[in-house]
Amino acid sequence: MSEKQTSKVNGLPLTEATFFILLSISRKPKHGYAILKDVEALSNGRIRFSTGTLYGAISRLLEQNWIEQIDSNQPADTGRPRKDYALTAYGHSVMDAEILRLESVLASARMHLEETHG
Amino acid sequence: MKWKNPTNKMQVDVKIRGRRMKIERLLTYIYAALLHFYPAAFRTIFFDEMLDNFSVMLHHSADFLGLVVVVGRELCDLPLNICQAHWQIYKQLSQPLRRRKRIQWVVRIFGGLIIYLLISILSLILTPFYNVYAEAVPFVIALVLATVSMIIALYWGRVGGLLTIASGAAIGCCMTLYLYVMAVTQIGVVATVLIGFIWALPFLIFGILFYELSKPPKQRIIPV
Repeated sequence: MSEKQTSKVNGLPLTEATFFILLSISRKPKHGYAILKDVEALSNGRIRFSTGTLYGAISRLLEQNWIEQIDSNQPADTGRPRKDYALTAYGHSVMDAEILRLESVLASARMHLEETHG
Repeated sequence: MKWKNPTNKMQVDVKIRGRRMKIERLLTYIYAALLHFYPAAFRTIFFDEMLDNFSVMLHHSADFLGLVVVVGRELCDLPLNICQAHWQIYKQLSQPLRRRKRIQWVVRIFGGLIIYLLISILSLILTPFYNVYAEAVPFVIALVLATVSMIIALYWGRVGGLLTIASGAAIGCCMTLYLYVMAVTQIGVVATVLIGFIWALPFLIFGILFYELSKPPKQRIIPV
């Protein structure tokens, strides 16, 4: 994705929590609890969501049309039908743009440090 | 090394597991009750999932300390999350619906203050030093009813509103009768009725407001 395309995406930069949620469901759709555990693992235990915080974030992401709710094949432990969350095409582009942004930030930082330390 | 009776150990394990399940069930009930503070539109979509997640988190916590950590985290985050969810829903409303929502909250806040005032009055009246039986039993009953009605109205606006109007009228009547018996010669009939009406007025206003604001709006709320 080019710089121009990156700047077109609204809502950047993402918060760390949002980024990890999107990253968690980027490969395949997941249900709430799986996202919760995945984010914890991806962030090396730094981000631990409460249920309320996770669903607040999911609600915002649904509203922004970055993710979508789909019916899961597996029911929950309680027997109720479970919902999975998947990235939309727009969500994918947002995540790509964020990765690009982070890479450019990192590249700038490295270049600056190399110049400073010789 | 001391030999332990395996049957006893198993019995203890079963007992502990049973107690833990009871605690988990109780905590899930409490959490379900707390989820009712979220806006209805939010609950419609996420209530079941949140409850399932919470019970799974409790179930997967290793020990009692784990349970405390899970519950503590939820309770700490809950107020802010509820506010954010309300704000998010509020942002999606159209302008007239937003105004209506604002009025609803103002009525609820002032209603809450009146409830607090009524409870304070009742706690003062219902002490052993105050001979309520000799003085104003119907009035105190009407006050209790008004308090309960307003608490109901905070959640079920229509029923609570009607009950608040009725209890307000009861308070007005009681006050009028009480003054009529005690001091009509000193203050006159008109003033007696007027004082009774003034006592009833706030409850009538709040009852009408609760009732009117609980009516479903003409425009539909955009779902999340």
